[in-house]
Amino acid sequence: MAEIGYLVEDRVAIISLEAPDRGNAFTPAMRGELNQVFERYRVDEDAWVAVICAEGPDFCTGSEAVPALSHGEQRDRARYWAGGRLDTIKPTIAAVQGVCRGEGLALALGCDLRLAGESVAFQAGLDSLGSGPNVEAVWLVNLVGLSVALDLLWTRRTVDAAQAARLGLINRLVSIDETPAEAQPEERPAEGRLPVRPLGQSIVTTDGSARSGGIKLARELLQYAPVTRSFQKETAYRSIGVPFHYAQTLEVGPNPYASEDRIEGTRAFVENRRPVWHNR
Amino acid sequence: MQQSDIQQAGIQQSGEVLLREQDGDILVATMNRPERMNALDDNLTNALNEAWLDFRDAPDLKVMIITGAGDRAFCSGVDLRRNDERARDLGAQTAQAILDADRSRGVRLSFNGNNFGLWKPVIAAINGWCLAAGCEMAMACDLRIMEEHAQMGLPEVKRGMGAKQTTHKLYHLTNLNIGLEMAWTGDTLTAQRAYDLGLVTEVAPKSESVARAKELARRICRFPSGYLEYHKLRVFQSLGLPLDYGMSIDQRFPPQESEDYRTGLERSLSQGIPGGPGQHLD
Repeated sequence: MAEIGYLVEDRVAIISLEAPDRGNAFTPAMRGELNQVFERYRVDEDAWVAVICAEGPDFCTGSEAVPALSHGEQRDRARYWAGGRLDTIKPTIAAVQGVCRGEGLALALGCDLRLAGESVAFQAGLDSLGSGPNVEAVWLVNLVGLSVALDLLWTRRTVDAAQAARLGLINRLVSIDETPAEAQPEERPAEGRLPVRPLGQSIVTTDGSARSGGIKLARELLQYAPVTRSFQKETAYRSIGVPFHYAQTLEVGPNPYASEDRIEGTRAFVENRRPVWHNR
Repeated sequence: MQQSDIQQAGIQQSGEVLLREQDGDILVATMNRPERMNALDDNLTNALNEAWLDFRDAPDLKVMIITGAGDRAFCSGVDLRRNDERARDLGAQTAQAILDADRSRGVRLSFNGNNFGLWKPVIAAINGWCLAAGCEMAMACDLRIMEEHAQMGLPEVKRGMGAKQTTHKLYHLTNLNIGLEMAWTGDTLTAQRAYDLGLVTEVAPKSESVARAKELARRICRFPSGYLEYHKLRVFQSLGLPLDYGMSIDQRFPPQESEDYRTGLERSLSQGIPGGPGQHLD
């Protein structure tokens, strides 16, 4: 009974929680499956960016109540609470809608980037089982700072989309593209240098779903150098929580300056065209 | 002004690509290649290295302001045309060969990586496009003031490069979320967004960032150098350490015990500090 979907389209891996009947609440079996899927993404050379999304109105309402977990089950659980991000240096983007709490929140926080639909309702803190993911505090401190983290954990207040954007809990808010079809700019093949433009705070798609927003952002990332992405991710996670001076001397991940893509990237800039990346 | 080690070593320097102006105990350095958006070539890089050292070693200088000439750019990064020409000249088949050729030119100073013990305050007056190595330089400064039309960002991901010297600082200046998104999209921050994220302390009207930076520098200059350096050192010593360990770092030479520091601070305090600390953060 597969409850975690894995699909690769044009280098984007779409990983989906597929148990909407129970709000995608986690069971031990589902945790095991999710870990296997993360592993598959890690080694899949056709997949360069992953979107983690969910079927149904809610991303994930938490966990199904189960009797005591075995040691192996506990380990499975702890593993994706760490977000699979410790397993791969390729990006993971969480596309979240509706309720996102408990283990679902741990999963979303464990991804590198987060997008949310208008319906999102984040909630931190222990769920009714009294056994909420113990990693929430760790991620929240790094993402929203100490005082907001404690506020969210202690009050368990629900955070809506606008608040989440303001607090820095999400990168982008996904909404429906209201532009009428006839006013849409004509689709043209991308030419010239990659443009420099301001960082967006929202993303619009035809149906305004978190999933479609996640895929759109993933495709945007694919325009850019994959070796650089891996280097940046490795540097980010290995430089947080270590002495600053030590972080300054870290040489982790692939060195983009020694990559073939670096020559191509500079040449494409000079020749005023789009670069073609080979991920090496 | 003192002669720097670099100048004594006879490395080529140009007085024109970097303009220097001393105003009391403030040094204003202006990158002056406006026709190339103040992009960094070897001359400008060497002139900057020399300026950082001179500033570090000059007893009469307390605060440095770095800015760009013209109203288009603060600094657009390394001159990519020059880089591509060099790659072609080298006939290099691999990026590793270019890297090796760069390294064989010797260890260079790194302001961005602060590898030469500069603990005096440096303020970036961001007067226009602030990209790539230019953005790294601004992030390596201690305080940033940004003009309303300026934008800052790290487009390295669009060129297959890495912004290796300050990537780790980006995550302290923003957070993991926004930092990774900036690094992965190469998209820029407008002045307002940079202010909202806390990356810059003030948004200035067009052409006024240097004047504002000087105002801020004058406020800072009321305090003795030892006091300013002590706090910068303390911040970077404790950043990223376990909190309780950071609190307990042994201060073997607390500046409070030095005569200079005490008389300097007493003098500063007796003059009164108009405005009070932190007003520029309003």
